Amino acid sequence: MRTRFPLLDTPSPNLQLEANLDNAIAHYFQKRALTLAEIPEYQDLVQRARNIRLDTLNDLPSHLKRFRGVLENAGVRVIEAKSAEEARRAVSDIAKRHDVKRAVKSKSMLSEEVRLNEFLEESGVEVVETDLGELIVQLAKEKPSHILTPCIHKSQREIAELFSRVFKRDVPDEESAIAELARVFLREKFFSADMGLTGVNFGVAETGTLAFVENEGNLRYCALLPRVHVALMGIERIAPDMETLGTLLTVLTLAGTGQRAGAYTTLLSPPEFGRKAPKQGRFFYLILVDNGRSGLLSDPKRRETLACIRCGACLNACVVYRHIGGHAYQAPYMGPIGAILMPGIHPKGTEHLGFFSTLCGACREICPVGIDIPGQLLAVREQFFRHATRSPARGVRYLAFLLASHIGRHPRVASLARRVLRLMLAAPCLKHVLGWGKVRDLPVPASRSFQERFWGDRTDAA
Amino acid sequence: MTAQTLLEQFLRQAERLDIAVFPDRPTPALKEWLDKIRTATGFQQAWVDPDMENSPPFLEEALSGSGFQGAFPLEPQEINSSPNVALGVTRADFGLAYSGSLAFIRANPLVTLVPAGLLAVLDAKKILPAYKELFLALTSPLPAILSLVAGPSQTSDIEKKLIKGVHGPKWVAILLDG
Repeated sequence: MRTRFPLLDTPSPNLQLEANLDNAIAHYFQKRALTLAEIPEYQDLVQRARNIRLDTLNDLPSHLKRFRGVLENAGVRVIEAKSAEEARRAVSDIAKRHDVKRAVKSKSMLSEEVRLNEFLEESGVEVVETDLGELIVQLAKEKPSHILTPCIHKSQREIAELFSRVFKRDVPDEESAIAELARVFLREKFFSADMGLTGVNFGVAETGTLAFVENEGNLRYCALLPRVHVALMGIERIAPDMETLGTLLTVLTLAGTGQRAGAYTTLLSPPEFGRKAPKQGRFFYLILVDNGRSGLLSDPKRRETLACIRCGACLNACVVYRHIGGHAYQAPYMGPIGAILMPGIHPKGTEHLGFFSTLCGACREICPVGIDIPGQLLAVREQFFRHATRSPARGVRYLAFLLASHIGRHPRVASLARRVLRLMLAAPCLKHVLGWGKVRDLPVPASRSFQERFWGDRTDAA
Repeated sequence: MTAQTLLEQFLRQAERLDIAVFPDRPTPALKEWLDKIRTATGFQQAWVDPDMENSPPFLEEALSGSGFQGAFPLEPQEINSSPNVALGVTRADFGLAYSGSLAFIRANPLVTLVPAGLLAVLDAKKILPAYKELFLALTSPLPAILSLVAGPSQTSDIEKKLIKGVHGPKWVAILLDG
């Protein structure tokens, strides 16, 4: 376990978080470098993928119309959800129609965005996360902190303790033991579930094909085993044809996990799929979710954000994300992509995320579709200031900084303020009241100020 | 790219994915692989995909020699009653040289997922360079389900440590036909 300062007896939770993130992300970069070293044409692939995504977005309405037409002609039920509320309601209605008691769910950031689980649980449907990382955060009653590795903030020891507590047995601090317990637990859930919930990586406009990529196999279970399959897809996740799909699938796994291909890639295609499923007593629904995307699409300066293919690489590259972790963003999408996507689709209360960046450009360098994330972050900051000038919070912030500058200029007052703050932070309940401590630490002020230590040390030396 | 180059690249990628490759004849290595799965799982049942055309004649004997009992329960209701299957045996339609992936069109996708081990028979002449060529090779209408498998089921969710056999097969092997 790493400690930053010898004076600290125990590392703070943030240092543990940083250690967990550093360990996981170092492994990612190692694997990615090994794979990309063998693919000299990678930058050409990125350029091609970028062109595909930007061209698709420029003509998204017609691609969507074609996509939807192919699916509906094949008998697939496609539901448009303009908002999160409509998406939740659509899934809930399907669950009621088919008398669903238990749903198994694969990883889907879109379902986090529309807060699907909570809603279904309130409607009486048991929702079981089946991706190992998602299961871990669900059992811990937490939220994912990374797009691809939801429990990246947790150490193996923490997970073993969690499983011991939840499953009421002694689970050893071994990754294989944890995974085996999850496999046995989830297998029973797969075979007894009424409904499978998944996201969609890409939908192909020309053929109506739906593409799903994963490594565990849980998504394939969710899509193929329960009698009802509901897939949620953001309207921007379109590939024009099968050739462009091939390029996007290639860059997705190379950038996301450093793999040439995910362990499981599943393509469902009409008209055969649309015809076969009902004959086998199975039902399939596709929910196309807008939820603020059309607004972002209509802004030529910000449209590029929607080119994201959710590989999660920018999170790994971001120095800010690596220090504060995903929960500090307090949003379904975190890291650089979260900082530009959230203010685009839900500006209220998320525009400050534009400041969660040093603008170093590492996110742009690593993005497999070359999104100019720093440029988009600057646009978000501009948006923030445009709105902030009208905000009453602006006046409060101004007064707070004015007060802080006065305190700083009077050493005795500053010393007193430091002591008061130390006392306040010593009480855990106050930490929560102040809004700190749940997702990030407010460091306890030093017992002596720099000036006190400096002058004290000089006196001692003399 | 020549067929030989494609085969070599495919085999190199398959090895990296921890996919064992055996020739289409009985070998001690194949027996060892089958015995390992039989012993590790403690299960006897193997699902042999009934759609498998021209399966190598020695296969049935090899399976029974390692203590497997072949069966064909591939309907969902039958799968529900027997989720603990040691081995799935089916035919892959294509292999991809770029990634070492196996592409299944005719096989029941659950046979590539539910058992602890997957043995896929692949025609060595059916290896294509990458996704683009695979998608071009698909005839219209597109198959209802195209499932690609690139190695064992895996996760790195816990401290990025690689764990195999999370939900799907822990062991994957190819019988290279022709």
